[in-house]
This record gives sequence, structure tokens and C-alpha cells, in this order.
Amino acid sequence: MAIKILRNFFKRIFTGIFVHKKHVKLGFYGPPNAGKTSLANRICKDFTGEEMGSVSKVPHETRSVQFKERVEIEYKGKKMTFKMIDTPGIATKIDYEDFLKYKIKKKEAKKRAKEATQGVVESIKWLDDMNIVVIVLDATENPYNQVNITIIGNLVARKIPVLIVANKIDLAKADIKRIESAFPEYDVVGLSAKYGKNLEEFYESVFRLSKKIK
Amino acid sequence: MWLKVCRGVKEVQNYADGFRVFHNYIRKGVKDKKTPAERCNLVVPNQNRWIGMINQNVQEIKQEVPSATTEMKNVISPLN
Repeated sequence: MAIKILRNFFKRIFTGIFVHKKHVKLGFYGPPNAGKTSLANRICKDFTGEEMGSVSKVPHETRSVQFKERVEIEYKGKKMTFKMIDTPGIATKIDYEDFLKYKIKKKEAKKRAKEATQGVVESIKWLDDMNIVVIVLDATENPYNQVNITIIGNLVARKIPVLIVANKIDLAKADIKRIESAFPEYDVVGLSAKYGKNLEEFYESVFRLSKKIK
Repeated sequence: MWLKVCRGVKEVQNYADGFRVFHNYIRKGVKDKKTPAERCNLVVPNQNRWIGMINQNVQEIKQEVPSATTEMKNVISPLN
């Protein structure tokens, strides 16, 4: 009995010393060109001073999962450490001819399409590891065309907290109400990742959701 | 019997896109009488889901039309 108590006592001490505190894995999902990398860059730049990845007007700029460990976000005196995971845009069809419009050479466009397809598979695989998922949508476009039902269904089934972000609210065509009406049971935050508008509300929502992690 | 011949991958893609909308937002499951969208708590704002989906896209087209007409006016006015 005494040995058992002693063993438990040492176990608690040593796990406290050697095992690092678990980081909350924050994943950015959404359609191509919604602003996932822009948002991840904005957060990383604010708290670590470094960017996560390159941003471009051409869809599928991010073609592999990028992550940044130990991003400590401080909001209203609270601190939390996140592992930021930026994923490639999820699309159901990727056509190399779409890239030709952006004056990309045919060979390069085909390579880009192939990499983008592999990126979609990779980002779906990463879904297993997420603690919180931020779904980034373009506020200027129809939410029903952008959202992937399979992925949201997967998250709902796994009981992973989801935050919907309506990006690009700085544009005149942006309509957050349309996204809010489509997702009445989710937290919807409107922001502009490019100009850093309304990020406080985003941090508040992320902190609130982190309490729901199971 | 009516038969529609599909010419090329692009035409098939249109049918596939249409069926995806039908599957995700319109057709209800046998077991729980819910569409996959409803299972994800995603709401289509109309009693008739087809009309709801069409309205959403019509609103989008309406938003795009004014900019197109002003562009047309600019093109037409120098000609007059």
C-alpha cells in the first residue's frame, strides 16, 4: 500500500516535470482563396513575428500542410499556447486549366493541380489530430457553394469545436448575415485577415471554444 | 425514352455538381429524415429547399448585375 502511494507520488512529480503541457491544435480549413493562410499569417505575425506561408491570388497557393508550434496567444490577460495548422484549400475538383487564366505555364499548372490534389488528401488526414477547427469562408460568396458538408459532418460527429470565420469583410460585397443565417448553431466571426480587422472577437471565440475541448 | 448525350468531362462535371447539391441539401435520409446539411446544423432558408438554394444564387447574381450595367453604360455612352 505504502509502495503504491509512493509510486503515485513520484509519478505525479515526474510527469509534471518532464511531460510538456499539451498544446491546443488549431486547424484552419476552408475552400481555396478564402484567406486561411492570410489569417494564420496575421496571428503568427502578431504573436511570434514570423509568417507561416506565402499568399497569392492564384488558388491553391498552399499545397501542403504547414504548421507552427508553440504560438502563445495572449488576450485580455489570458495566455494559451497553440499549434497552428494551416491546411490547403479543400476543393472537390481541381482543373489545371483554371490556373492557365493566371498566366501560369501549362506544365507548371499541371504540376500545381497534382500537388493541390495531394494537399486536399493530406488536409483531410490531419482532421483526426485537431482540437479546434476554424473554417474560413469568403464573406463575399455564397456559403453553400464554399462549405464542404462531409468535413463539417465529420467534425460534428467527432465533437470537435468549430468556429466559422467570415473573411474579407473589408470588401463592399461582403455579407456576414448570409453566413450567420446558414450556420445558426455555430459561432460566426466576421474579420479581415488582410487588414487585421475584428481579430479581438476571433481570439475571444477561440478562447471560449478551447474550454469545450474534450 | 428521353436520352441526353453527355459530351466530354465538363458536361458530366455539371451533372456531378448538380447531384452533389441534391445529395447534400435536398434529399433527406431514410433513417433520420434529415439532409446531410441538416445533420451538420446547416440551414437552407426556405421551406422548399430547391427554391431556397436557387434564391441564394439569384441574390448573388443580383449583386453582380449593377456593376455589369454600369460598365455597359460606360461602354455605350461614348458611342452615343
